[in-house]
Amino acid sequence: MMSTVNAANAFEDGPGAEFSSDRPTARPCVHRAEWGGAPTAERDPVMTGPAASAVACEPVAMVTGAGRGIGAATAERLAAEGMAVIVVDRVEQDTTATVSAIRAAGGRASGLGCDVSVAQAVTATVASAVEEFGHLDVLVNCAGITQDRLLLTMSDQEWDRVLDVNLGGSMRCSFAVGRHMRRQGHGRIINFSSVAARGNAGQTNYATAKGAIAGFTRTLAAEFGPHGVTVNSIAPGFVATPMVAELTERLGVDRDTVLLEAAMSSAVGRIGTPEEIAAVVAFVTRPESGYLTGETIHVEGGRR
Amino acid sequence: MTGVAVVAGGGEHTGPAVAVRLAGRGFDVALLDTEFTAADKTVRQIEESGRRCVTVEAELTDTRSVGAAFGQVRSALSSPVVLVTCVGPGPVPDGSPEDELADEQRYGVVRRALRSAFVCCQAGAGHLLHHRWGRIIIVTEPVDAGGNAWRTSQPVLAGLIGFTRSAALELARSGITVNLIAPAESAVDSRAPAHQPAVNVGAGSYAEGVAHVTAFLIDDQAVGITGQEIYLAAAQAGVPLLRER
Repeated sequence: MMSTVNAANAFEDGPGAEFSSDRPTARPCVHRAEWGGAPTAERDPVMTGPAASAVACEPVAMVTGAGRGIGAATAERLAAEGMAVIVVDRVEQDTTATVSAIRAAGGRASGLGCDVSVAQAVTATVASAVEEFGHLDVLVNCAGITQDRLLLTMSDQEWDRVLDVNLGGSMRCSFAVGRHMRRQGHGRIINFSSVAARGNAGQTNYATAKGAIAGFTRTLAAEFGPHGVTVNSIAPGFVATPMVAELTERLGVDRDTVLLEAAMSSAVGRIGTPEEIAAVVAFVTRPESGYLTGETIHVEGGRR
Repeated sequence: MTGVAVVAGGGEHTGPAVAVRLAGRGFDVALLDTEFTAADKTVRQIEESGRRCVTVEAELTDTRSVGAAFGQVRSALSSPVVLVTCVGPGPVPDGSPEDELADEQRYGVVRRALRSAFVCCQAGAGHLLHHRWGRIIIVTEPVDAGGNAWRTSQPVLAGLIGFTRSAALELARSGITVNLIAPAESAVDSRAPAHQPAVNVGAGSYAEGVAHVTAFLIDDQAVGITGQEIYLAAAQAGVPLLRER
């Protein structure tokens, strides 16, 4: 948790300093103009009244796959930056650690269980999040799984599950939350692609899903741009997370050897941390990042 | 190398153009599709050139159906060495931004397109491996101007790039190459094309371009070209500059 806060300080000199300073208990609702929202009133008659923008509230972020790994680090980081965070994972029980960590650090968080591969579950989760918090300003689609297998022996279920969770989950959540963001006239959607989208043996399903997410990001950015909503994706390189640990265990390969190889193949000579990915997410969510959209940002320590 | 080539999908334009070109290079050709509306002409054209041609109906997103179809191809012709699989992103229902059903159907369109590539390539690769030589060519269909298939073309194309590269890595040691052919417009524009991407038939059409690149890739000397994307620009539309990926 402390490292997250320290990372936040790195941005304090920038124009977004007010977002990384000590978090107040309540802050003015982020004004549309501040978020680089839709510039004209006629585009969005719902939230343009002075009463609406004067409501005291903090920005609200929803992070899927936030029970662990990059999702958990992202949820904690956004909370440290002053956002109320809806912590979503497949089952609600998996969200308790992240929610507790955020609350212990003085932040506001709420846990929700949602299998993002199920359309009705996503609709219900977004509805209950909006009901509890009143609005949604940031969506981070971290929920992701791998089920590696060579193409020749991959089962239909392994293909479908990886596509339905990674790509289907990102699309569903983006549509459901995007609906509210368009009405608000502002919003930030951050998807998770992967460097695996460049191709990886044993991951035809994962590479397809993660590549498709980058393509979906471009399309949605074009569609949502006029409504003040930006859509970007982040493609992490090798980050030590539970997902990677499970992978090495399943493949029966030595984890330390894999980590060392990954470290040596990056320009910076080490693997990444979830907090470093979270820091880039935080940057993208800022009001002053409104001119950045449709992009996939590779955070992989450079390539050798 | 000649032998049997399977052309999966491709409708009335790309599939037939590729099939005829492959026959011209000495291949017997099997056309796989969910339904055939105007295949008679293609079959006749190929048979007149002295090669054999069969049509096999198959649901291209269904593993069992495609597996059975490849079995039929093997019985009727022989085990294939070339697979050209054409993937159309397809139109999505016109829904309002409030229409949740339209959103879910949009994922459904992307899912089906990507799944057909997986199903066809998996079945095809199983046969290609027996020969220790093979060519898999994945073709994405152009997006019509005026329609809304552009909403799904980006995720489909980007997904297929990841798939092509991964499959290429896995199959390279077996002498099998995997490449992707796509319309240059799809690689440039995230939105609907302002003009019809390419005339559908004849010289300069997308279908003829795909047939030409296919002929190039099936050559023995193209064994080192794998995991690549080849973008075809419409002849009359100038040269779209590719965005960095």
